[in-house]
Amino acid sequence: MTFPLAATPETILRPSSGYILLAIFGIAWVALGKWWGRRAQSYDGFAVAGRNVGLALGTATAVATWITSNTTMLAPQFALQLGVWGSVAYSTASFGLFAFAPMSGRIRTLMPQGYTAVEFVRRRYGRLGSIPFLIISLFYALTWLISMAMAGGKLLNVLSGIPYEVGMTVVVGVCVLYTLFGGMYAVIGTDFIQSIIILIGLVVVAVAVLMHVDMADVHETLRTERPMLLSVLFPAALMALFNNMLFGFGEIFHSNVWWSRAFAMRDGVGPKAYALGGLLWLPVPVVAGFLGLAAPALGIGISQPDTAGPLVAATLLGTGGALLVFVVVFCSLASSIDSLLAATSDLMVNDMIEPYAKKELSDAAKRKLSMFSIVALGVLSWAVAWGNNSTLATVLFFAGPMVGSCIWPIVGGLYFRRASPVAACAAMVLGSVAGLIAYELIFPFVGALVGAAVSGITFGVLMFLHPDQFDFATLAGPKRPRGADPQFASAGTASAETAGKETPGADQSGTVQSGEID
Amino acid sequence: MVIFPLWLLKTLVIGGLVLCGAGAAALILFLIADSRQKRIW
Repeated sequence: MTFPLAATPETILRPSSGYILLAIFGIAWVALGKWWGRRAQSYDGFAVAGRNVGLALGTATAVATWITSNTTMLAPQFALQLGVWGSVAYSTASFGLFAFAPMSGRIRTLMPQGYTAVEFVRRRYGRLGSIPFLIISLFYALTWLISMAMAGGKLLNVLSGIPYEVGMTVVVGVCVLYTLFGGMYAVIGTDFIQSIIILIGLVVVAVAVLMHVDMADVHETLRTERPMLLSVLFPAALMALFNNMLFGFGEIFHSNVWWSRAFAMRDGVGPKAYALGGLLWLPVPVVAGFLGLAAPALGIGISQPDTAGPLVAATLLGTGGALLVFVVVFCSLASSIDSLLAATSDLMVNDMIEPYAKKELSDAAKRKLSMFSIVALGVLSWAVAWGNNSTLATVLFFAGPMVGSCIWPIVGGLYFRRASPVAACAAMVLGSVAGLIAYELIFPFVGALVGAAVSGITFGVLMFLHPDQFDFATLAGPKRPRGADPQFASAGTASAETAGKETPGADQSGTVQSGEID
Repeated sequence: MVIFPLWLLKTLVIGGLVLCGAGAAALILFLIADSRQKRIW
């Protein structure tokens, strides 16, 4: 492998500049992680930032986490391939944040001492529901993590000529280090700075682009050269609109990235933070997408559609623009990778290791296991991303049908007593299978749509045929050791009558009563 | 073919820019408010 330092004709930023920026921001994030990490003495501090995060950091972390490098890369690609509807379609992913806002408050109320989404599903639906949910959660988290690592290597290479392997390694390595040092404190703290940089950077780049090209020219060029991009009735774009919205709902509702933040925010902050986060995120794909729409009018040739935005900005704004885009992209990558590392390590500790441990894990042991999990996840994503053998869109949207099938089991599980383990399990399995078949055989943009639809119908029918009478108050209790928890032995075995008698307060052992009624 | 009018494209992009700028400002204001009440963390 060579380490070029001079700019090549294809890149706008010199590799040496890229290395310097990587070093500056890498050191800054790690130092901040170490500094904030002083607060993370207990496992609660490390995993959920002490459960006391305020509105400013809560809102910023919702925005920053949802602005992935895919937002800055795929939104322009969507616009370039699907037109105006493409940008709007991408921005519908913010609806998931709006919808999750009230759910975050309920999650915090139902499980004041909770850590993960899988923990909720396990206690709500038992093993029957938690196995498919854990598989989907891990698949999605790893897919997202690997796609972020790949995006890092690819983008830094496109912008500055830094070899893919080097850029990817540095991005993953820096995120692993500061998450390791500071846990959720470091993740949320850096998210605040990253969200400010991303939002301001995006505004500066878009304004600069507008100073180079008139919007009337963009509109006219599209109308004459690519009229479909302006079409109000572009079929593929309309399908993408609904598919992306449901994909967003599924991603946010099921992912522990969002649940861990709901647990981390101070009581009453979650609903406001997620609603404001959605509002702040809503315009980002539209603004980023405009860079893609402007490419034809500017005469910029795009060889790789998913790098349209950064290339447009860097081409128009020269070195300054390239530096800005580089920083924005690095922040977008870091804000998502750190969240995934922290949230997925929580899953590994609380849902894969602790339930099967022979004895109750101490606070210190859980903290150590978390750190080990973060390193393991970093190494795994680095190793898989090294090959760079798949396109970003394919990697990202392959998970769509699966997460789309989680929407109804999560919503039903949070709000409806009748939602039962059988209904949840069947909805996730059948929805995922149908969605993946549709993704492969019909069209990728209908995968999440079909997954959510089949899952919804299955869930509704089975909830009617096999209803539960779940007592939500039992979720507030502490977790029980595996051997004593009926949920670990058999899903849905406790009766509703028992649940009624042993409700919160009375059930200090934390027995979970989510069985079906015969 | 029915196409998006220019005014709508302008509204989307300019509106998006304004929201992004206002969002960054709002985050800083929230942080100031939280820090005054010592409720950042």
